[in-house]
Amino acid sequence: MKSFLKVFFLAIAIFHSSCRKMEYSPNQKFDKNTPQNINESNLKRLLSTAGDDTIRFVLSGDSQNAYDDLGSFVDKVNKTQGIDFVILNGDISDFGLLQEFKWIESYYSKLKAPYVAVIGNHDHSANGIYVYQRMYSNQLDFSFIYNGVKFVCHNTNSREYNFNGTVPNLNYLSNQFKPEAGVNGYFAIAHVPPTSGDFDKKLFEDYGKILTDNGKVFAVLNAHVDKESIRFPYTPDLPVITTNSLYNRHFLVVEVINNNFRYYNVDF
Amino acid sequence: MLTFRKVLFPLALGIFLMHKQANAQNFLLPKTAMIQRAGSIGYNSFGIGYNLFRNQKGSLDLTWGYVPKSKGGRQDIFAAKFAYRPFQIKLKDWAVLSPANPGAFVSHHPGGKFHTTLDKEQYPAGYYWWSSAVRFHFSAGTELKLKMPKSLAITGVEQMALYGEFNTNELYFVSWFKNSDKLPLADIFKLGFGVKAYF
Repeated sequence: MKSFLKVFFLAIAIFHSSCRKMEYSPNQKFDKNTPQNINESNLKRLLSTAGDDTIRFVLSGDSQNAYDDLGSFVDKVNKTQGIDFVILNGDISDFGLLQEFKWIESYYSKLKAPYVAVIGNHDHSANGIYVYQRMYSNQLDFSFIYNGVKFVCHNTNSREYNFNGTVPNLNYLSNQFKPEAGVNGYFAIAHVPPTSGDFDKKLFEDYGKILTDNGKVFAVLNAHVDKESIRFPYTPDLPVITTNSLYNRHFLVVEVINNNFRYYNVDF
Repeated sequence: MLTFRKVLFPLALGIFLMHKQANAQNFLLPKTAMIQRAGSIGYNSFGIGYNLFRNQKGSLDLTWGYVPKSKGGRQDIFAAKFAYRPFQIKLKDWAVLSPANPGAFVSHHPGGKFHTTLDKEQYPAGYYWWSSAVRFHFSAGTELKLKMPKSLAITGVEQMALYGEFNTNELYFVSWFKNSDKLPLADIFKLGFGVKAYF
């Protein structure tokens, strides 16, 4: 009887530990252990900190298929002094699968600084949008103000909507970039740069006009092109900057000191 | 000679063809039925199957599975599963264990958000190399087959099998292949359990 009980409990233990490995579909939108609303809780964490005279954040992007590199990335960022927060600027996943999002999250959650994720074109594959919405942000366009600077994160993956004129959402953006009291500067943060063929050409001019009319936009920060670049497609005052992919072991550190903006790249 | 050509040959041919046809119809009758939990083809999935090769060494199962809204978002999944049982160990007169059964299966996910081929108007050729609607899986399973007692012969079920099966798909495999330093191979394998009736 005793040995029977042992076998019984062993079987229960094996079954219990194997539950984590049970998958209903690679395309399921969530499972029991999927974290939720990460952007919201991380922004709460960020905004509850006092901050200082320097805003310093990491612009990282294209974490798709970079699992071998993310441990070193997290170490490098955690060792960098004074990082207020980290942006994961789209293409979190390669195939839009829950498992990929979970793998990426298992690394990013080890960052000491809070992080915020923006949606990329690859994240639109399969059920990726649903996974993103549940894990990160129900709204694909969202913004936050930190130490007098507004960060407008938005969806520019126009090709995924067959260039139907709704992405990027110019109504949303023109509201967000209306000058407002207490905001001394702005960043436009999105995955696909306006100079890319994956950005809706019909919206290119109006998009730029919203940003240049505001007059206080430091830069447009993008990813997607898998190389570091800076271009000035609108005016000499408005840089459009892309970060290289994490797969290429590269990110940018962006700083705002006394309302002056600068950035540098870090290879790891 | 004449009788052979005019009578016997057509008769023989007729019998032969009838026999063939009966075989063909028999061949279409499923030889197994299964119910599975998880294993990447649904929260629950249901299927009928055929034996391939001798001694039920090979099997082909056709399944429909579903994921309920509360378990990961509503989804239907159709799959065609092949498995091979190279080792069949007789434990008792009434129990046979097939410990290591390699297999492969294809799963299809219907629904507008999944693509089989890319829209040529929307994307340049080769923009995304995979199809989000179709997954190709490799599997490894274990099956314990039990002979049914005579008292249950009326059900038509000759044997009942319990099985467990690990699988991965080609996209997980690519993820692992590109990241084999840090991503444990075990991470890309997913588990399912099932019960199978052999008629």
